Amino acid sequence: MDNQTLINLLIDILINVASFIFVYTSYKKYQNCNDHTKPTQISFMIFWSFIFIYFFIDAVRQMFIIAGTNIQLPFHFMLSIPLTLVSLPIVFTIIYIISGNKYTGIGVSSIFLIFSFFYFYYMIPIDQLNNISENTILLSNNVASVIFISGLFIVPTSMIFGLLGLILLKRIPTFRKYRICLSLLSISIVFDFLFLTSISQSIEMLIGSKIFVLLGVILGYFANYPPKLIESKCLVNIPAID
Amino acid sequence: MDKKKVDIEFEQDVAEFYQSLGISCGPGDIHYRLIILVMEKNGPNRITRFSEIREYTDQVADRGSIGSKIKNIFQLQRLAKKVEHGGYVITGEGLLAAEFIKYSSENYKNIMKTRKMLERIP
Repeated sequence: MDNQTLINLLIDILINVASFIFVYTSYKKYQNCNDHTKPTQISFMIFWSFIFIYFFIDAVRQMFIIAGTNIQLPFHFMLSIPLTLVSLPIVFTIIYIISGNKYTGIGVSSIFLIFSFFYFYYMIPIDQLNNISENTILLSNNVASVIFISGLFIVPTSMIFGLLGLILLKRIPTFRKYRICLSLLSISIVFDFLFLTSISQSIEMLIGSKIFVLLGVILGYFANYPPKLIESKCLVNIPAID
Repeated sequence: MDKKKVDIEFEQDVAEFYQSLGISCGPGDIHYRLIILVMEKNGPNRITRFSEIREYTDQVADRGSIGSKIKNIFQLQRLAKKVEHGGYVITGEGLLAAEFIKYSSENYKNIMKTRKMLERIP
């Protein structure tokens, strides 16, 4: 049994558990949301669901590798689905937060859905899917690679950083700013290293990028449940005397 | 005919916002806002009639308070000069004051935009 595959599997399980907890807590929060925050909460749930699905499929793939069965092609396709669709909730969230109109968010996300379809259209020719290594999903077609990188990766990443910059420049309470910025940063780290996971050429790079995905998930946890130290620094309560 | 109209409801919202911050004069005074914006709309080369100011201020104030406000604040501080009976012209200082009032409106819009954006983030 390969140690590296075991480490891969362990990290996948950890990310699965953490992202499942996120989906569950997001669902709990959704029930107490008002109409303005509901669309954002739903898209957060969908984003973490896609992360859960991706690493769940990857964990199953690692188990097949440990069992000695080499079935790469179906997993290649299955992993591509959450990988390409994970940018949709990110785009919707950012457009909805800035514009205030959920239909505008849906419209812009639909453009990215079209990019996803084109990615699959150029990726599907099976005779080009050779040299798929055990541990990576290679972008086997140049056109598919360009569509994926430019349409489904660079634009959403830029949008996250744009919104992050906007929030940092605004005058809002420190604690609120900490929570929002850390949430955006965690989503960005998870998204970026998810992409890196999919194109890793070596097992070490794959494990390294998965560790960063796990780090991103942990940052997301600290954004939603800040440690006491941060709370005491940000929420300084100097009592008033009347 | 000048096509730019002063939006009374918007100016009232802005004035109420600044009043909620404890700023009850200048940007927080709806009468001040309307008077200076109406005069600025006509510019320093046109006479602003008292009746024209009243078209806007009658919706938020009575005639007496506006007349005394123009005399005690605008004329005294040389933001406007009386050129004939019921006719005023904005001065350079008045244009600066109008620019500040417009800046306060933009500031209000930015603050409201930020608030609405934060409302959408859980």
